[in-house]
Amino acid sequence: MNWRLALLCAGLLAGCSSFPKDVDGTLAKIERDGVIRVGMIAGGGTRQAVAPFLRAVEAETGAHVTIVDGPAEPLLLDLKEGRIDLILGETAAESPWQDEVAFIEPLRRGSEERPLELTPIARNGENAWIMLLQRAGRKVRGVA
Amino acid sequence: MKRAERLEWWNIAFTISIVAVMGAVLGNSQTMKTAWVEDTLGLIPPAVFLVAIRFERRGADGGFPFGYARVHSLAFLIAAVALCGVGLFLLRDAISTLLTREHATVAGIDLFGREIWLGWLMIAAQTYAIIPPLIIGRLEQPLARRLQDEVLFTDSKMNKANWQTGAAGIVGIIGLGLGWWWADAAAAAFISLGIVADGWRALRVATAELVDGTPRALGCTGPDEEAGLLIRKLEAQYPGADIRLRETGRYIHAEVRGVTPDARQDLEALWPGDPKRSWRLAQLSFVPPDQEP
Repeated sequence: MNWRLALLCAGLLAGCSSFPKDVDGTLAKIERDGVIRVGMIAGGGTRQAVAPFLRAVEAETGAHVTIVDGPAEPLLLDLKEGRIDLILGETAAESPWQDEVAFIEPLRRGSEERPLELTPIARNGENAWIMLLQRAGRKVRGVA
Repeated sequence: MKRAERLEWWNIAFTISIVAVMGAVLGNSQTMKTAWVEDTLGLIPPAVFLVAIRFERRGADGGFPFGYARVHSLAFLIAAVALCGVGLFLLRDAISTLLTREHATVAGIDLFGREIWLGWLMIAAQTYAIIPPLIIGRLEQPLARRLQDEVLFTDSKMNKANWQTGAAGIVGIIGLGLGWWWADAAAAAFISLGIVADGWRALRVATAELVDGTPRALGCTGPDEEAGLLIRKLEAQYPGADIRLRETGRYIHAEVRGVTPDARQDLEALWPGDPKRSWRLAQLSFVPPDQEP
């Protein structure tokens, strides 16, 4: 039983060139089409603030960004359905969408006067794409 | 018995360490959360075993004139409910994940300045979580048979459930890394069916024990072989009598109805099986013909 399990794990690991992969292949699609579909939550004047982050994402993928502006809820639905790849905007730290989509580390923390965080949001399970966004975020914040 | 006690203390210590390690890398993975809950519930059987044997050692007193042997039966029921509960919890969780097509996010973390996929840490934690229950569960089974201890036997089943869930968790996380969202839930559902079956069987035996059913074989609902031999021996010794056996914890109580006792009985000599296990027959009582209800 145990050696069979070990063999199965080894086989699975040997068969993967890039780890992890996206469940719905977001990163592969972006690299193939050369387009990153970004939804920008309207209000708050975030375009300038996210520009360095988007440049870092473009550099990592070799794709270019196309932006759609809109209110948060329709954008989140579009993201969940795979019609867009990424959302950027100001969100509450305790958003009711926390379990529905993946909130990545904020690019800018909220303050006491304005408790909203500037956060990239991706689809759940798109783990390679989320890791790339995390990497880009760290570069912009000067961590990496 | 001392060895079983020591083993269960080790079991508790390792389980606490597993709960701590798994808790540190839970992340957003449903499989990991489920495995963590299961490991936490895995503390119940060894804990009730240790409590039960403490009570069992106490003699009879004014409040409990028949002693505390039946605490063991109660502990067995608690362990069986825990095993059943774990199985149902896992099954519900796995089916819900499959039905809602939940995609688990397992991203990267920054560890000592290097980016690492959290899935690798989860696999490391699950690998650690597999080893102690695999070893302890295997050590428990022969001890449980020797001591005729259903709690210890159920705990060995719980340990089996724990290491199998850990193995399914590893396959699930690797599957997730390969982009197969359904892999972990499907593996967990398959394994949880086995756990529910073990739990249900244990629950039936525990209930039979508490309502004075005929002794059941260890870990299954079928009749106990030694108890069957004892019934046949008593039937041969007292033809026409109604022989009834029940189990109180690990001990058998026999009742011969419809005859008057002829002479003092040597319980050890009466035991039909391995003489080393003659301790199982704890009591033989008689109900004379005119006093039967």
